[in-house]
Order: sequence, then structure tokens, then C-alpha cells
Amino acid sequence: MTDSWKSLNAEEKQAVEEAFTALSIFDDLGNGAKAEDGWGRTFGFRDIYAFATGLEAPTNALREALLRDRRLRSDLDYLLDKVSLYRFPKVAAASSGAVEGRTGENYRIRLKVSRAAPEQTYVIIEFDDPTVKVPAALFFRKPDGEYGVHPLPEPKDGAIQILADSGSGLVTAISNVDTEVYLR
Amino acid sequence: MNLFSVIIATTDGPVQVQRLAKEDPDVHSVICLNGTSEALRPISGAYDDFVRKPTGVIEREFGHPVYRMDISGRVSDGRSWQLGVFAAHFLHNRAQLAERSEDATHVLWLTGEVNNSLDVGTVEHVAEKLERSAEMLLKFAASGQKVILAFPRGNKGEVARVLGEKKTGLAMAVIEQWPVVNTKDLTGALAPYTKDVLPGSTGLEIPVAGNTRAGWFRLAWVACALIVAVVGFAGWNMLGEITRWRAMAADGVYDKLLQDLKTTKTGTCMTCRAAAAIYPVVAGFGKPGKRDIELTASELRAPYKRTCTSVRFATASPEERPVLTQHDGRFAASSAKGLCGLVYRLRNSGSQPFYGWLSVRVRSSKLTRTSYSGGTEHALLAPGKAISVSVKIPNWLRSDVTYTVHAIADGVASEDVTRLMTGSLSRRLNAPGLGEWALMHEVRLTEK
Repeated sequence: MTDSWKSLNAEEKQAVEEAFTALSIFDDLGNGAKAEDGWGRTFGFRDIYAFATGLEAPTNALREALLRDRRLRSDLDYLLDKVSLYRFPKVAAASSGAVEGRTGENYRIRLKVSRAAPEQTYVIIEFDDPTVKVPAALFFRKPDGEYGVHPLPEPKDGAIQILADSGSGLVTAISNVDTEVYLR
Repeated sequence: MNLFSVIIATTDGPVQVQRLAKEDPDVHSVICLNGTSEALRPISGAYDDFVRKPTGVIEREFGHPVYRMDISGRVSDGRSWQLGVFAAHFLHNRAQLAERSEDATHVLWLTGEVNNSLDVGTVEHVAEKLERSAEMLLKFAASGQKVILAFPRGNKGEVARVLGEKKTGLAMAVIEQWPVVNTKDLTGALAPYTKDVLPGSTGLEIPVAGNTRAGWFRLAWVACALIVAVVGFAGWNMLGEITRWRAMAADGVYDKLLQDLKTTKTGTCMTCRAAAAIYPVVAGFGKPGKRDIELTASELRAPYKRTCTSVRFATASPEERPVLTQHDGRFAASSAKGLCGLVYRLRNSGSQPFYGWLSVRVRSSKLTRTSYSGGTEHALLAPGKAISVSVKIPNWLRSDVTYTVHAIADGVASEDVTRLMTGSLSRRLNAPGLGEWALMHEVRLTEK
């Protein structure tokens, strides 16, 4: 996996899809032989791939596994980096520890406290270039190793807007300078 | 002071406007559920369009571009909420919107679409909405609150029928009915109850005959029609232009036709410009239209206790289930769980043969393989005959997928339409007289 998805041409993307189809058929055929119960299971690439390419929050078991297993976290970071459209790194040189947004190449995230309901905050993702690929999800990785995902609605007038409680995981994660944020 | 509780009628039951507040102009307007941070979709986007200029009327009428509205229940897609939302803004502007129903002296129940000229359009399912609201309205009436119904004049019959039914008992509860054709009818009817009773004192005017925006619009059209008639009398030129464009359409050269129309519309020849304005009206005569197109979708699902893999290897036959078509221009969303594929069909439901094109394209997804991302079919279709495009749904799908299903019917086999549908024409044709239908279909990973 030295190339990102974005750098693949149409034929290469189709080849990857064929490979995934073949693997999932293989999984499907082998599913009958597997135990359904998840107790004591180990987590591997398939689990973090499902998280990194899906819209569901990690299960408690996966969350705990990620907090426990540094290598699994490292694999997930690598995977998120590969499948994401853009990665906002940690915010440097912010002494307060909190930020009101992040600026990156083509994408910008702003936090705006609601005037009508000050206990709620707008998370606004703006695109500089209207032709830029629209992200479907926002992932974050808090400094303590906790991961989260938030599905994104369709953009409107070049911006995606989410309203969230100011104390929610999403808002606190984005405002934390040490959180890494990915748009996928 | 009279305080109004605004009730937006929906087919799922009445929804109360709980709060309306101005927001910072650099965010988009939202409609939230019960004061929570849950912004209701897709209604919030539509509300922002309804508020903000130039598409919206609220900013134009009340001066602020962004609001947050809290409501007591979900409002599905559609536009029948617009009259209720307009009334809420009007009353909020006069500080007469009750945020708690127990504070209200009056209860205003509304349904209706509002266009950019503030005309109120007829809506569907009014009887059902009123029946679903009956219990709530009766409770308000029982507690001494005055219940008023406001609805498009075109729906007057439906309202009268429900009020006439003894079983609901609504006729006793409703003190006034306001059938409206324009929001000015509504604000005029509200005037006696609001603080500012003088027409034009603030905000909106009480309607004055012949002084409405729609009136001016109609007058302008009549004037235009007269001018066209006078000029057209002298000009066979106009007829010649239309005949030439119809000949182009008959040959299927729509790209050239559109360029010609565009050039004509910006040219100096007045009769030609008038002809270009008239052409879209006559372009569809004698051609297949929307009513001749039947566009359907079906899900292909694995039979009980079998998987899509067994369907793929033809050891099991898929079960085909039709997908419902909604009123909002979409097929009902399909759950990706156990979904092996989709089949879209274009059928000639008319009585004459036509050429049909059917294109299915994937939106908002990384799927690229042709069998996943859609395709295009076209053929001469005898009455009752159909063409279809199938897509497979990979079982490794990890995000929602939306397909755009685009159907066109025409009397001739047009190369331009084929280029449009296969994606080699970069811009939309949107040619007058071309029978077109487009529907969206979403495949969701999880039930929503």
C-alpha cells in the first residue's frame, strides 16, 4: 500500500475493487465455519478497515482494543491517512490548548458557537475549490488514543454544516490542538 | 396581546413551532428537533433556501438572512411546510409567536407551498393532515384557545369535507378558515389580531387588489403577449424560426438547437427572441412526454438463508422486490443489508413507439467498476416494451451510495442524447420538448 486511493487511475481502482470483491466472497464462503460469538476475539486489519471506511462509531470492544494495542492504532492511523481525502495535523503553537478551527489545503474547519443556542456549536467545513472531492465523514483521533467518526451531510453552497452540543466528543476533539482530524 | 401557536400540518401528525431565533449570518439556517442539536435533514437545507436571498423569501420580507427554528416533530421532505414557516416568521417579527402552546391565545394550523412571488400553492394530503391533527386541535379548543385553519384556496374542498364529517368534531373547534392564494391573504387575515393593523405600517401589506407582485407579473405577461401578437402579425419570421427549430428537434440535433436558441435569445432580432420564448411551449407537441415514461427500480435480494455470493454463482435466484417511488423525486431508500443488486427499467407506457434512453450513474461514492457504478441503455421501444440497466452492490460496501437514474424519451434516435447519457457531452441538454425524468436512489448501509 504505497499508493493512496486518490493516486490510482481508473483501471487500478477497478482492480482494487475486484480484489475486494474476491476477498469478500472468500470471507463469505468461509463465514459458515466461523464462530459467531465475539468473546475473546482479536482485532485485525479487517476490523479497522471496516471502521476507517464506514460511518459507524467503533464498538466498545474495538475502542478498548485500540486503546490497548499501539500497533493496531498505528495501523489505523496509516489506514486513515490512506483512505482520507485530507488530514489536518495537530495544531502547532497554540498555547491555550483550544482552537476555533483548522485550515488546510483546500479544506477549512470552523467552530462557531450558536447565537440562538449558546450551548451548541456549528462545525463548518468549507472548501476553497468548488470542484474538490466532497468528504462523507470526519474522523478524529484524540491524544489519548480514542477515535471517533461523524457522518457528514451533503454540502450546501460550498460548505458542510453540522450542529453539535458544545460539550460533544466532536466539538471537544476538533477544538483540542492535539487532536488529529481526517476528512474521508 | 394575542399570541399564536403555529402548527405545521404533516401527514405524520401536527408539528408545533417551538422557537424561532436569529442566527449568525455566516452559518446556514437550520430546523432542529425539540431544542436539541439534531438538525433535521433534508428539511434544514430547504429551509435555508426558503430563508436566504435570492431564492428565499424570509430575508426579503423580514430582513435577516439566517434563523434557527425548533419544532416538535420531524417534517419530511416536500414544501407544504412553507406556509407554516412563513406564518411563524411573520408572527415572530411582531413578537406574537407563542413558544409554549399553553401561552397561546390562538392556534394557527397551516399547510401550503409558498413560491418566490409569495403565491400559495395547492398541496397534497390536506384531508389526511387535518384528520391527523384533529385530536390536538380539539384539545386546544377545549382549553379555550381559538383554532384557525389556513390552507391553499385550491384545497378548500378537502378541508370542508373533513370539517363536515361529524366523527372528528372539528367543525365546532375551528373558529375561522382562511383559504389563501398569496401570503398577503394570510397576513391580511392576521392583521386584526396583530398589533399593527394599518396596511403597510410594518412588514407586509394587507392585500390591495391589483397591487400584488403576482398581479404585476401577470400584467407583464399580458403586455408581452400583446407585443408578441402585434409583432408576430407582421412577421412570418417568427413562424419560420420555430419551424426551423422543430426540424432540428425532429433530426435530434439538440446540441445545435440549444446553441441556436441561446444565440437567438441574446440577439437583436425582437421577433426571433419572441419565437425563442414561445418555442419551449410548442416544442413538446406530438412528442413523447413524461406520462409516456414509466421508470421503475427493483431490488435484487438473496433468497432466505442464501447469500449474494450464491446469487453471483447462480446457485440461487435472486428475489426481485419493487422499490417505491416517493413524491419528492426519489426512489425510497434501499438498505444495503442483503442487497445483491438493483435493476432500473424504462418502459414505454404510451401508445406510440419512441426511442428511450436510460442512464444510471453513481453519485457520492468511490465505486468505479462499471457493473457497480451504472451504465446506459437505449433502444426503440414499442408500447409496453422496456429497457433496463442493472448494477451490482458489492458486499464490501462501507458507505452509502446514491444513484441518479435518468430517462429520456424522444421521437428520433438522437446522437446528442446518446452522448449526453453516456457522459461524453459535458453539459446538460435540457432541451425544450425532450421527455425527461430523473430520480435519485440511495442505498444505505444502515436503516435511518
